[in-house]
Amino acid sequence: MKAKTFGFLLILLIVFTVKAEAQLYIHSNLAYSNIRNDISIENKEALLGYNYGISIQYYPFRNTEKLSLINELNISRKGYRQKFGEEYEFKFNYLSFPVVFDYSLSDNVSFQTGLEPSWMIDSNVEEWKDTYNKFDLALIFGASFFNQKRWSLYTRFTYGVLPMLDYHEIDDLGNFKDEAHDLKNISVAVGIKINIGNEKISIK
Amino acid sequence: MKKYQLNNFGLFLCFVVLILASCTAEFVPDPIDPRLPKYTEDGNNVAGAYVGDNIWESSVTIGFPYYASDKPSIKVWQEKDSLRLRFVGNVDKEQLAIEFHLTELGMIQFEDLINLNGQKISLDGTNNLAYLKANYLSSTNNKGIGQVYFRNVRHSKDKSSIIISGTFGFALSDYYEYPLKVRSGRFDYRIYETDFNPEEN
Repeated sequence: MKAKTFGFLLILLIVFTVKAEAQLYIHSNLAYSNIRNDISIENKEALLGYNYGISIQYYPFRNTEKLSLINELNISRKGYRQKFGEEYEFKFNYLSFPVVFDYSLSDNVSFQTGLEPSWMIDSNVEEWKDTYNKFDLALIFGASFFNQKRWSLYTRFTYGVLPMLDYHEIDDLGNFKDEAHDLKNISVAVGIKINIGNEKISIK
Repeated sequence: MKKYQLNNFGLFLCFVVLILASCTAEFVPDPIDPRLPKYTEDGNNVAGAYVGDNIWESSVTIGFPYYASDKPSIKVWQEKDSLRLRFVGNVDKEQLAIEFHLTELGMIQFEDLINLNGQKISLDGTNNLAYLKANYLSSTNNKGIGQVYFRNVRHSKDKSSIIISGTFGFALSDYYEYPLKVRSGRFDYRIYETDFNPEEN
């Protein structure tokens, strides 16, 4: 409880001691989504995923106008598929809250990196709650183009660092092998952002 | 009079729903190979294995409108102190049952199934046997050598059934005497007392 209160106060401190202009965006992308794995996943192929959401970009650091922070709230679909004659799709829907550092190289190009904590909220897999870990964390690398314009483009590489699956493989005889922590999300996305407003969020 | 008929119909519907709800299989795909069921211990009434390069999958279609013959079958011979487990399924839509004959387990009554919990039984081809049977007839008399593991055997929460969950794997020769492996098998069945049939000797 104390940790929650502390976290809430910390967020308030960050938000309300910032004196900055902020841009509000809605964004959407299409993603080439797959998984990384150590255990053998036969006939694995990528899946077309997507992501949409809202974001706020602001400049909390004095004297560093090129550096900004972006907070996002996204719904995203990740996953993969396997083909054994028949096709089996594994689709995972996440609610994510990325925090991204944006560094502007010029008026038209900026680079981004950050973290994407996500919670799995739905899947097409039967009893997914018992099979997959609900919390996921990914590293984000990306670039944004034409930020000064109302419509802009962005690309993003998301590299999952937490395993989605804690699982005991079964060997040929039926013995349980050591628990494997495996399957990590990975995706490459291209999308558009629309600037829907400039807001002042500074409160001293 | 009309109201009485409706009540009967309602009861009938409840009965049908109960039968369907209690006896249908729930296939949760394995996250590594979705053609197989994930290993579970919930009484999902499913089983699966690799038979050679093919997938053997259980077919449990109990009750209306299906025949009851697809139930997992468990028989005991009290005199010989042996237990026979038959899991019904198919490979490429051809019916194929996997059957285990196990001895010296002390199985006399339904409740004794609980004693299987945690037992890893070696299928030695002499006392403990595994068979593949097509259309309920022995497709081969060859006996499988390998293992069956009853990893979790417990009462269901309402105590009306026993849930048996485990794994198996064995090797044998097929009808043409070619070596055949049954690999990475897993089962998760809900067994009722009516499924447990003491054989008359």
